[in-house]
Amino acid sequence: MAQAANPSPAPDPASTTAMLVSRAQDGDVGAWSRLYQDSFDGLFKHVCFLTGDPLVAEDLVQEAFARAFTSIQRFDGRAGFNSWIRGIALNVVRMHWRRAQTTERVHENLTRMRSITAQGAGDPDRAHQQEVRMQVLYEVLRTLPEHLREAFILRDIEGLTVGEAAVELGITANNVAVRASRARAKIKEELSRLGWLGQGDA
Amino acid sequence: MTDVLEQWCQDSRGAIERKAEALVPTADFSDVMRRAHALAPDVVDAAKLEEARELAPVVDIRSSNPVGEAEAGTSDLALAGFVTDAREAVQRKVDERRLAPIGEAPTPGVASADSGSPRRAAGWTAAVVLLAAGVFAWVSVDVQSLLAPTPSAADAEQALLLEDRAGSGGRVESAGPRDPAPASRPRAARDAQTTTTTGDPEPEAIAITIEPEPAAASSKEPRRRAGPSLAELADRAEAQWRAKDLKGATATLRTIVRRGGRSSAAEMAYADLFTLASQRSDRGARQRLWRKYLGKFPRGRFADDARAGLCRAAGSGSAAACWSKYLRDFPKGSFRTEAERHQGGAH
Repeated sequence: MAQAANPSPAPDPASTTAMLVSRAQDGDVGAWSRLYQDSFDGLFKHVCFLTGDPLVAEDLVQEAFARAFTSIQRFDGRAGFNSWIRGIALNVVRMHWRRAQTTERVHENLTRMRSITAQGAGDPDRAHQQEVRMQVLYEVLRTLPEHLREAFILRDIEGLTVGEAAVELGITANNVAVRASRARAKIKEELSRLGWLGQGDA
Repeated sequence: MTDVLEQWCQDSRGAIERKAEALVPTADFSDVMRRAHALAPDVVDAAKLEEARELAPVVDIRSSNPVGEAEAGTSDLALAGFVTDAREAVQRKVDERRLAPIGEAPTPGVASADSGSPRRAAGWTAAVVLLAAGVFAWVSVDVQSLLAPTPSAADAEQALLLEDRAGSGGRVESAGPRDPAPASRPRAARDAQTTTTTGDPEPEAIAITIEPEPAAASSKEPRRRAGPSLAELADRAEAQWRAKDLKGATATLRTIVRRGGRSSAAEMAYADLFTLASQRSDRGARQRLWRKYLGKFPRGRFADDARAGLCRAAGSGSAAACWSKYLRDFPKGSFRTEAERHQGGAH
């Protein structure tokens, strides 16, 4: 009766994860699978924001987990497991970016998108408008240097605080703010140049 | 950030979130391990690869329901606290069971926060009555059990003996259920939306026979009997597991299943037994446990996994039919994509 009235509290998630990591480092495959199960959702969403493409994100997340499991012995626990694997995922995304389209191709895509959208101007479908803007924005992001792109995505799209973004990127908060600000200026300049923004918006 | 660019960012975030929610990842943990093996075969060797294949599939399960969420926006606020309490109580028990086979005993702490998608009140509203009933029934069982004398160790040993006999081929008319649990439980196993509260019809008998529980053990009202409470048994099983007394842990978990009826404690005990069967690499035992589990919890937390596991184990002649029935019973199941792949050849 006492137990039912005062049920034992749930284990702290952080300590649960720490125990799972410890077991994973001992080679417990079941622990690896649980870490994967627990971390997948959040990491997948994070990489979706970084890439703008859930299909690409799915593949990159798999790669990130694979790399994490092969290097789990190097995890020293100073940062949480989620922070550690997000760092691995960011590196995987960076490698993906470097293999991706050239700047010239990006500009071709942007020009093509503009012509398509011009034909459908006034489309009342809000979801479609969001989709188009997302595609355009991510094409523009590809024209930015990586360090500006990352700061902008984490701050302005994913919505991390300056502090959180600083931890993710391993830089100071001030540095994050400066990079994000420069990214915004470049993005607005490019959107205006392509005709997506009016003169008053730039 | 200026307003115009902020709107672009909001639009992008909305579009990405919508696409991410719509995408059901098809690769699972075993695919990750294959990649890891390719990267570092000395770290992720063939034995680990095989071990990963033996585990139940681990796939991210999106149980969010944007439509339901919108509808629940006007849900009864009076129920909100009740729903939250019930949800946290169930989540606490699930988290305890997740940790049980691994590492130390649970330490005091707050209820587990969601590690992924935010819980949505809408998805829990439909399950709140059953959750509360399950918690109250479990409490009632505990009270009754405390009044009963302690069962002898022979009871647990007898259950194990009966199970072994059944495993060698004979049918045993015993109240002892077999308790396999998926070695890895998908996120949906922690979400009440995957329990019996769905509007889907009860699944028909599938090609692979599901063994219903004998009448005595299938009663929703656990029998009064001598012995410790289900919670005490669970603690005992955990202690045995940590002490690497897997045989003892197995016997104790079977006792929980036998005595626990259709309680959440019994269901969680099944989950641990699935894990133990996987650790022994005993595919036959795991399949028998899945059938027993499905006989008692046809729409339980792990029913999706158990059904898929049985379909994967089915012979080439019956796999297509098995997956077809899976799709009918779990149209939004975690293994929908795999099931549809099997239908492609059948049509």
